[in-house]
Amino acid sequence: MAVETKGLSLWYGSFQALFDVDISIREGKVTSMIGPSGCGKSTFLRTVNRINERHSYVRTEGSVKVFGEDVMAEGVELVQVRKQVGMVFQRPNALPISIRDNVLFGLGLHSKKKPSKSEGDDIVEKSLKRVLLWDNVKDKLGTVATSLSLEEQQKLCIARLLPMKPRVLLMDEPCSALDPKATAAVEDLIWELRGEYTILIVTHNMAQARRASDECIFMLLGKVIEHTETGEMFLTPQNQATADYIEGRYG
Amino acid sequence: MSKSIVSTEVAANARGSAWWIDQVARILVLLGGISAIVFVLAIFGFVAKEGLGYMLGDLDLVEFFTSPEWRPTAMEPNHGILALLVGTASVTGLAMLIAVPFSIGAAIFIGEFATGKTREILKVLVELLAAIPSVVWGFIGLSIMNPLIIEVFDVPVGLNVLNAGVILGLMAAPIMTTIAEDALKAVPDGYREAAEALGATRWQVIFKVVLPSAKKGLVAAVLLGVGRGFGETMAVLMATGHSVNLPTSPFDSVRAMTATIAAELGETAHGSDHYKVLFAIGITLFFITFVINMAADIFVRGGLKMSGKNS
Repeated sequence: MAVETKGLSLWYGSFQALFDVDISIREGKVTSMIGPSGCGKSTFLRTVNRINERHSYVRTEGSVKVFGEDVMAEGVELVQVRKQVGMVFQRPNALPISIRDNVLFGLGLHSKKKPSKSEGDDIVEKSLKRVLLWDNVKDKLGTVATSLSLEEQQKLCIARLLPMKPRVLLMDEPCSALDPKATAAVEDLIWELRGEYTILIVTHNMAQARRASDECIFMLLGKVIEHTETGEMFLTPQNQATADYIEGRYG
Repeated sequence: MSKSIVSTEVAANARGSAWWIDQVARILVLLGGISAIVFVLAIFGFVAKEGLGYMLGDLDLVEFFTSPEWRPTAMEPNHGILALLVGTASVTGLAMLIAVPFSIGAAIFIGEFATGKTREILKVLVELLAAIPSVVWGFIGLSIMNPLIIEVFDVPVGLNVLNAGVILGLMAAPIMTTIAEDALKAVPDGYREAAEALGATRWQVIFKVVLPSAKKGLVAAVLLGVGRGFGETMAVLMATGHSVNLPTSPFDSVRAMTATIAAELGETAHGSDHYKVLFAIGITLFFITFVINMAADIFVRGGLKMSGKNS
């Protein structure tokens, strides 16, 4: 299992957002998480790389294992966790530095010695090719990344994770700020990265979950209601709440 | 028929009291808006009228800028402001050496580390510090710093560049802190989150993301401090020793351009050379601040590429 949680509960102050969540995410698959707003799907995602801890009022119980290692254990270095588990956010958050520097940003944080110019060029080219962005930006690698279109920025945000060789990619509604065409492009990319990376994607868009995932998790009020193969969930949901949500009766 | 009567009544009502209040408010706001321009032009006009003609005509500009001799009341008067320029610059320079690290550090602490009550209390205190009148700072320079410097450094006079630099640094730091903190706060949180998700530590986030993104605002904060330094009068008058001198060490007394104007203008005869040369100093100060602001503006525009479109 790529990601495995046992009895994961989480509180924001006195508000409990996750209740005893047991989830196992299979390696190399795209798993989507769906559910109405506030059901805890983003919270779950943000617990896997511990980015939730930016807010000091968060308290967590239970275990989160990434490839067998408990990331919540004492003595675990956050830096290691975040190298292994990359994250893409709802709003593209390319940094206001050059495209090239964005791609190399992660490496610059972690490696003692800087990669040489040619090594750097190589990494930039590979990463941008992997996200199908190379042809668009190869002649303007020095321009500031925030001048790109949102679609390009979001792809860049994925590309800059790759040099750190993550094994899991977390995506928190990666297409919600994009127009339909850009959404399709990013979805294609996600599908393209499948196999090499384990991808966990939170989405509001059920059609997207259906199109672009192998497995699907339905959450409601901080609990996992159903977790099956995507096709199965949309055809024959086992739970009444799932069926109602999928058919758009609430949410 | 009756319908059209109703509508004319409505039209007449539209020019009732509400309409007039609107007009008056609009004109008042417009006056408020252009008053800044009017005042700046008026002040510039006044200063130019009193001094510019003299500056470009009778005044020996080479002597004015290059001679350290300031003896406007001597039989053979000398009107050299080099010593005053150097005095102002050295005090401001030292003040910035003290204020920049202090204020940027304070802004980072308040903006990035302090939370809740600590943060609120600190912000209030910093603003309170900014509200202390400059004559009070001068008082501190005169009565606390002066004996302290004499004792600690074993020098004959404690009213010198060091004293005024420290005082001016402390005076400028609070406002610089406030501006710098605003600049840090304006950095979108998404940038911090992105860097943290890539595994950056807190300090890496600050040094690699927050400070570069806030560069514009931080430079503005520093330049505001420099402007304050050049323009500050009372505290500098009290703490520098007010003696015309080209300083060779921080323990030398100096005299600032502003302090010279403040101390001497009241005792000159209206329209005399002395009177006019003081206005020439004012014009020089005006010009220096103008250049600093221009530099800031050009820098900010140059740095504009760095800030995100959607920030």
